Amino acid sequence: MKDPFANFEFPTEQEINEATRRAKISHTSKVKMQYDKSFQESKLRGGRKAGETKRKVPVADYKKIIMEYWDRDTMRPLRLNQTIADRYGVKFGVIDNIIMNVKNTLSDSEYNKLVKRYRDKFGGQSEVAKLVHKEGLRDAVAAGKNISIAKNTVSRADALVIYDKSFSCAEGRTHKFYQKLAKEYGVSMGKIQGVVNGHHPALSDKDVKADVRQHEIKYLGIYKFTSPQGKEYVFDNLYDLGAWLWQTEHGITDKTSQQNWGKGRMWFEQTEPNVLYVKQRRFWKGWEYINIIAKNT
Amino acid sequence: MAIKFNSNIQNAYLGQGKIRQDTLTELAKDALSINKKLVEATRHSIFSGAPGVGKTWTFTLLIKQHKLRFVIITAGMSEIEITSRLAYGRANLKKGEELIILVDDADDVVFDNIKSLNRWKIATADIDPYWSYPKDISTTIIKAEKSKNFGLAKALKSFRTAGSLGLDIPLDRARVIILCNTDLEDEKALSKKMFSSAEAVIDRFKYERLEMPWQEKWGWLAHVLSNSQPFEEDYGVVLDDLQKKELLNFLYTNWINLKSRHGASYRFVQKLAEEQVNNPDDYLDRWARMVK
Repeated sequence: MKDPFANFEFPTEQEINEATRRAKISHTSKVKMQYDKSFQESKLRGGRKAGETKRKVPVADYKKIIMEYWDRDTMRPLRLNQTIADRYGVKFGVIDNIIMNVKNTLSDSEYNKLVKRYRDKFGGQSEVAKLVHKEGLRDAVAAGKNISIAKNTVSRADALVIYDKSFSCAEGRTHKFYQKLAKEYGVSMGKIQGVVNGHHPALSDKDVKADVRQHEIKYLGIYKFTSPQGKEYVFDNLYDLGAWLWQTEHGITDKTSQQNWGKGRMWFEQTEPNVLYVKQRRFWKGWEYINIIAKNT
Repeated sequence: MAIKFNSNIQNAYLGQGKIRQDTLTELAKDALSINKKLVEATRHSIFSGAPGVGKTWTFTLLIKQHKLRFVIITAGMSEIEITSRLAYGRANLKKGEELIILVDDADDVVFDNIKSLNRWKIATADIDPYWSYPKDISTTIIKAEKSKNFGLAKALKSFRTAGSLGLDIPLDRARVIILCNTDLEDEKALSKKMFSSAEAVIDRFKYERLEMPWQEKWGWLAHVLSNSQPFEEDYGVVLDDLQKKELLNFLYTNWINLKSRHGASYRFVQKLAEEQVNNPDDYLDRWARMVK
């Protein structure tokens, strides 16, 4: 047998290490490159938008930026460099360099005077720290409103309030409302979803299904449908509608009402009661079943 | 055909050398599983001994004679080279065959540091032994394919694990034989940390320490040389008995003056023979330069 290693030149350790490093870094990029078309395009353009050449802050604007940053009548807002950077579409480090006179836009004496004037007026870093404190930025991050965002937990009292809130209005059981609650209480969306579905120690005695059904009846009203054949169907909630749809599809089975709810919600949630949405694609399937049942009966 | 020396002592050591060689061959046959045994507590073995006791020579000879499937790993091979050789050897293993992994001069390859020692521990573990290479393998595969070395590329690809850069080679059908110079039972020879780790390694190997006085070493070399032709296979050059006798006599009288601390090895004998064949006029001068 021929020796496969006879004249084979192995890659050097350096080559392998380099390849390993590259492969490790670009793993996420590789996945994104496969599926994310916009990522693909932006990668090819070096992160710039379509048709855009490399972004630069015009040299003519350097002085304007320095003045905006240092020559002020009021104390400058936090992260002003980021705001300016966003205006030019560059990284904030670029702006940092400009405002620190790294590019020698102004003479040293002129620049020092400017900085001194600002600091005499508004103070240095400690004043900024005070501002942070005053605006409650750090507190907001640390504590959220009632709940610590870092901990991502909901207290017992809050859980009861959140649960009740979700049943308090017509749109209370929607995704959008959960998002609002998540923002309000400074926790993740998943936490809120858990709470409104009764997954919290404080809510162990709640009958979520019954509550949802009551909410349905109270706010979502009666669903009335007239099939193309002219036959009228009436449901007082999405459960019943879902159950009926399920049965038209599969016959009478012992499936749980949770699935019935899913079916009804999938096709009819966020539609106004008493209105027929036959034109929307997502409801066609429901009407197909209705047609079938009309033919059969 | 045996050579007869003028000195009776030399002849006696020549006889000893034959006995030594026979013992070593038996041990090596056991290690290589040529002698079929009913039961085997451990497959792997370590042979430790100073240069010149015939470790490498015996094993390579037996492997060639019995046409065993083998991989030789020596000091100085890079990690990727070792991995490639193992992958190629393992991939081309036929049903019922075992892969002999002969680690020659293992002092650097295995017993250099804890990291390399641990890799060989995993490779010789009782349960699920494997050789793992965590770095990028695609560079090597591409190089192999470019140089039309498709066998190697195929072997490397076959052990690639999904979602990782490198490869894992299962070594459940491998028999590792480690040849080294260091006495692993000597505390002074290894660092303290290495010594305790090496103990665990010795435990899972058959450990054989080969030691002999210099006269016996000479006897072994004399026996081997008198029964073999170092350059016949490759160059078709045959040494006659007179030449061999002269060489061995030179070695016997100059053994104390040898530059190597451990005495001569078979490789040194080959070097002497090389001078003898290439420079028939002044080989004695050249030999004199090869000793102190």
